[in-house]
Amino acid sequence: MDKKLPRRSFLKGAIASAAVVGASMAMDLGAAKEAKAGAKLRALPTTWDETFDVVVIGSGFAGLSAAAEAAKAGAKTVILEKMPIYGGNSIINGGLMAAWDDQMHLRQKLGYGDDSVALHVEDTVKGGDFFPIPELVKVFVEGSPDALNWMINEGGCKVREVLARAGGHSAYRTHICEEYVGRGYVEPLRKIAEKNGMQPLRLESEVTWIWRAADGGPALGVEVKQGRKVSNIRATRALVLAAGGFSRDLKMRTEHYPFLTEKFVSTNQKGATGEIIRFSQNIGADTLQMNFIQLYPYAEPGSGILDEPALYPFNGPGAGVLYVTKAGKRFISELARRDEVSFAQLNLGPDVKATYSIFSLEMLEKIGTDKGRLQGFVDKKRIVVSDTIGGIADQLGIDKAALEETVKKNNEMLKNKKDPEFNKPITPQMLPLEKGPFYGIPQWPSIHHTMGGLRINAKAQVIDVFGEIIPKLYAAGEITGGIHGSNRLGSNATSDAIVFGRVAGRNAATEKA
Amino acid sequence: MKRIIPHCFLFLAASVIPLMSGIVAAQEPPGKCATECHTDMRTVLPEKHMIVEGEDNISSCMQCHLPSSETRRDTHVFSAKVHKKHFSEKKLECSYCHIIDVGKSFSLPGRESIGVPDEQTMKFLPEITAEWAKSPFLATIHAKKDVACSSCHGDKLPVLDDKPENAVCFKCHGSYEQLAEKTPGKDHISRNPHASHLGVVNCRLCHKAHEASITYCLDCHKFEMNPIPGGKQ
Repeated sequence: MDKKLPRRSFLKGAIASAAVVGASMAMDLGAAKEAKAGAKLRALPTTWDETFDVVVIGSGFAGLSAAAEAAKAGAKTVILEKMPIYGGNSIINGGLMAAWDDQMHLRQKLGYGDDSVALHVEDTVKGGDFFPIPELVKVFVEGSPDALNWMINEGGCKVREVLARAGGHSAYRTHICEEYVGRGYVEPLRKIAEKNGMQPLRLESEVTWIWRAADGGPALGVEVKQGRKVSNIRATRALVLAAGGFSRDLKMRTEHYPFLTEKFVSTNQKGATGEIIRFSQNIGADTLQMNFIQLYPYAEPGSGILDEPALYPFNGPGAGVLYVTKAGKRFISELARRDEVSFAQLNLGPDVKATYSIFSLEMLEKIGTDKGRLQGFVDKKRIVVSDTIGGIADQLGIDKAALEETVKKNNEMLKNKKDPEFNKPITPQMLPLEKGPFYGIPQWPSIHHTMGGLRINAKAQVIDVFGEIIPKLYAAGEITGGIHGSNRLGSNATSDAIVFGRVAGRNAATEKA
Repeated sequence: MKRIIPHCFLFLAASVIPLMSGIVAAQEPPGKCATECHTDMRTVLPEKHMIVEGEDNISSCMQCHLPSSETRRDTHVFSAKVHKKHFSEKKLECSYCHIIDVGKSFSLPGRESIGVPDEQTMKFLPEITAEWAKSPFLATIHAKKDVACSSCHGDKLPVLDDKPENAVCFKCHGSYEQLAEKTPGKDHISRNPHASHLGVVNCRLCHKAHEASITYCLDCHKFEMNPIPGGKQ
């Protein structure tokens, strides 16, 4: 069948319907309630309240990076952020960024072995069960060292002199910023964007519709709700969608993955809802792999948040962390992927609410923390500390004898360089649990990242349901799909969002007004 | 229209300030302080208040008590006290003192218009002023300390959805860092709302003047924090 045929009839229908509803819609122009009512064809605005060259939706890593590059290229650029703070999930993320190299050459300095574009791409593609689109993976992997250097040199970003080997990665490539939270990258990006002449960032500015010209025309602009005021903003060069994922959109996530009901908590900020994906679909954008939704296996069990202690278990495997159940037994290779660790936990039984990471101070120091920092979390009863493994077991209510036995076996396993139980690849950097003080951290899965989203090409252009480029529409970051496949490797999203944000911003600025 | 200075509006004191212009662009005659209510102005003025000559209306007061956010703080005190007494307690209409021309101007006698009030504004202004004077919210905490609208919203007529920037708050409350010193966490000093992992955020994120304030931290975190002023009771 000629694939052009349905497209034409689709568009003709769209125009015809638009004409019919046009008259009645004219009165409702700018009525945000209408936009929320459901997918419908709305007549284009006859006038625009404001005009910019590039309009970016969302102020996380992708949005800020896009704005920074677009502004640098001379485009009058504005970011619209619906939340009362900027930064989205990025500002509360763990501050990790995967890059196979950096200008300090930390990996070489620390003697952590080899890494390369090819290896990072291979890990990412394999870690996503071969669902990732290699062409897209290559873009963010290639661009990640430069993105990190850019933030360091132009935005004052500081990274710790450590590197973690995290689950699913075959190399020590996970960088950790000084702040140990995503603000450590968000602020440098905001500084660069402002320095490059970005217009003042607009908070509490919720996009309630995306406008596209009829008949395969370009994206034109957006309808925005600011308090009680609804207005239409024109983007003459391009519109960049960087609005993040939909972990906090119960309807959307259960539509694609019914298992993830309201019983699940989420690491995400409240604004991680998928309306921009729906508005994009409404103008013809294609989506892919929407059902691939990641659980973060090490969130704080009660609230589901990803605080700093929740990062240690993820950053810890390369240093030798041990994951155990309440029964004091290991249940998986600590170097397993996030999805594997999450489901191994969920499969422990209906009444299990937490598993635990067991560390020594030495290991934690290797992933960029220190005793003073840890004591703060001990005081807050977030983690426990003891000079003996038995003391850790007592405080966490773990079977003491079993835990002591597991630790003993673990230490032998490291000496023998072989994990007969779960086949974990043993590296020389992994430390035995011999020298205290020891630390214990409870952990449990929490909805974390939506790998699926809008289909883009290597230029960050949004692709429609017929495989054609939607003119003047770009997307970057968690809102896009096909980059991480079925399972995103931790610390890859930061690189993906920043690199594709830059690509989108640069290309958006080169469009003709 | 020229007005005659009523006798009782003149007070005996050490000094007498010269009479300001008596020209009033009055569409509607504004309230006459001395002839209508305060037959002896001395009973409502501070003991050492200077003698004032001028029209028998608020314009005489405005010779000194300019409602400017840039001037001395006690100018707001005047505005706050006058509004609390006349609007909230005595239930006088805005138009008793102000000259209001909907769609055109909003002024005090003899003074320039401070904004163009539409019908929506004239609906919300009395509502929000009433709320400022008496509500469980932060606005009322300010009102009790005689902080008037102009302190936060500037010299112009406040507009619907006006959102003051942090700098406005810092004028009285000091910098973010100074605030952090005053607000160590309840159980752990590091759980300080003004020194969080979010960095510097909009004050308005938590401190909402005209609705219940919220502790944004607790949207995600499950721990105890000190109650926020003007929060849910």
